[in-house]
Amino acid sequence: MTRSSTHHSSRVQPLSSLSTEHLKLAHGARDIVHDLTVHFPEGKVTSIVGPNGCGKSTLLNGLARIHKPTAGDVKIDGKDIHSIASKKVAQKLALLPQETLAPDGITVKELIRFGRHPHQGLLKQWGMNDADAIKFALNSANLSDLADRPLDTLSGGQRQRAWIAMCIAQETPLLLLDEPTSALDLGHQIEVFDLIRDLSSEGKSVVMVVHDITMAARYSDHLIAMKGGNIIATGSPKDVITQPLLKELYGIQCDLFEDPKTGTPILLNVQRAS
Amino acid sequence: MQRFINDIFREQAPSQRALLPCFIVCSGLFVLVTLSSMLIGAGEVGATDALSALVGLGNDEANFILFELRIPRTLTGIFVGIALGLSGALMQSLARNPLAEPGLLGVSAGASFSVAVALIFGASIATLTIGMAQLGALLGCLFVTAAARMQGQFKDPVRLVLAGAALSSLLTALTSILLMFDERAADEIRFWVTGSIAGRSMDNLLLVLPYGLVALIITLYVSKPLASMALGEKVALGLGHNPKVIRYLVILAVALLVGSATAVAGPIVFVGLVVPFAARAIVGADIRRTMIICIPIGPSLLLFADIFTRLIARPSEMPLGVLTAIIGAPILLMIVRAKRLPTLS
Repeated sequence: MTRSSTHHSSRVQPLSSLSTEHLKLAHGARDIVHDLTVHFPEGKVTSIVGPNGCGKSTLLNGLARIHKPTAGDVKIDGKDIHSIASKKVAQKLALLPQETLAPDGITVKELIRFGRHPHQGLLKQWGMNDADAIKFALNSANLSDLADRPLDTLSGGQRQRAWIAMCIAQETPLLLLDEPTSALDLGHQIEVFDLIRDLSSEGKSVVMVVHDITMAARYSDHLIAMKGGNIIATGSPKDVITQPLLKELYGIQCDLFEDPKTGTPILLNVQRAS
Repeated sequence: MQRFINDIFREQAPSQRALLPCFIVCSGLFVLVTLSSMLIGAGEVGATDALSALVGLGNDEANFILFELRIPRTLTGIFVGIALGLSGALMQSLARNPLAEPGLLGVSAGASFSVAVALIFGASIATLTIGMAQLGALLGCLFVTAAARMQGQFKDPVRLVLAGAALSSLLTALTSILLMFDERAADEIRFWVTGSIAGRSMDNLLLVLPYGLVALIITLYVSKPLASMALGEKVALGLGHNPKVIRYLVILAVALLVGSATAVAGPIVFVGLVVPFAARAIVGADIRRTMIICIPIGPSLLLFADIFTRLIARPSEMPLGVLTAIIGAPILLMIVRAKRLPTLS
């Protein structure tokens, strides 16, 4: 919040709402997500958690209009995203997929510039507004000093922050992240989660898929627990993470404690449920 | 040499270089080669005679050689060089494979083959020939991209080239057989099998120019989304682009470029490989930067090779397609043997 206060007021986006209505997603004949109706709270960090194959990544791809629904809708501000031009959607919703590719030698700044594509057209190529947005994104992600460094010379955490900075430059009220920390070590995970929290406090709604439930609990305002393509619990991390739920989700039993500093749940003595 | 190639790939500098100075240097080279192409020939008319003809002081013979032969030939070379260089860059970016080259993968051979089929069926109208070349190139393109998308089978860049080379040589063989049945002059067979820019009239060039312009407009339109597809298809989609539409537009542009180039010059291989390779070594892998540099480099390389064909076997000439193969094949081997292929993905 503090690090970008100078640009903050000028580049804030009005909130947008994201929700699904009876959403059904399938891979071929196999249903992955069944009849899902859910609302993602505005301006908050929401994490989708669940075991492998529960449909959480598919749901995120559905929200990002990459996976077309077999039934139901994904709605931004009440409008079906498949009825809106893709470029208009990209002005409301940014996506960081799990697999990204970086061309040889691309620099941080060059990568971030891609985030401006939804705001440019054939006749509107590059303007002051774009330059400001890039500066703001570099600042927000604390990458100003690394702007001209090639991506492949950075640490994993810095690299992931650069990708998120590309999404920041997109200037969307909504940000979707698919396992943004899955390939990172603990220190770099914290670095990325801290940035995500900052973005949320600047007014972005963040929806992400997170594998590590303790991390999800610590850095999210809202959790959505999925199993077998259905939502089995939603709410604040404290309310969602209970021993019966953990048993249902992962087949584990454990002792639950409260983090003395953050008040979020911590799992100890984790073992397979008998 | 091996180390030199590896250095080109490892070095981070190319993508950091300022585009404008690189473009100016390459354009300087282009002007130099273009002038040389007008002044140097296999025949009697030397550089000084040609130069005086160029400034309007030439004798009849020099005027004829310059204005009827060398200038059309040079302009054809410029067109073909730009078309093949750009089509190589587009195709490599689309296939995420630095070896994907229209000539190697059989797109040019496809264009040539369908022209041969048209000739067999009695076509002689130039426009029909061009249409057939475009169609053959399009079919070749679709075949190659279908092959490139068969994951697993062709994930290895070299395997795609092997498959393409097999297709290419099959089509080339069929082309020569078809033309032999037609009892055409050996020269014409050679033209549709190896390619040349000698003795092409301006009419041919003017006929294909509109197709080239359409391809150029498409290329301008797709360059930005295509660059974003290098970050992954999901990223491109997230940025509001439509990868499917972009892919088809790129295929169309490649088919138009290769079809036009083949219609005026026959199949010329390796130009589409070497030119983008050089451009990437100069300004890095971003497709927009690569293509801007391909525009002066493509004709420079093609005309340079063409000048060489005039000098190597004086007073006769060597076919251009043979020479580009001689230059290109070792470069292909070097690229393949370099430990790490540059990622275009």
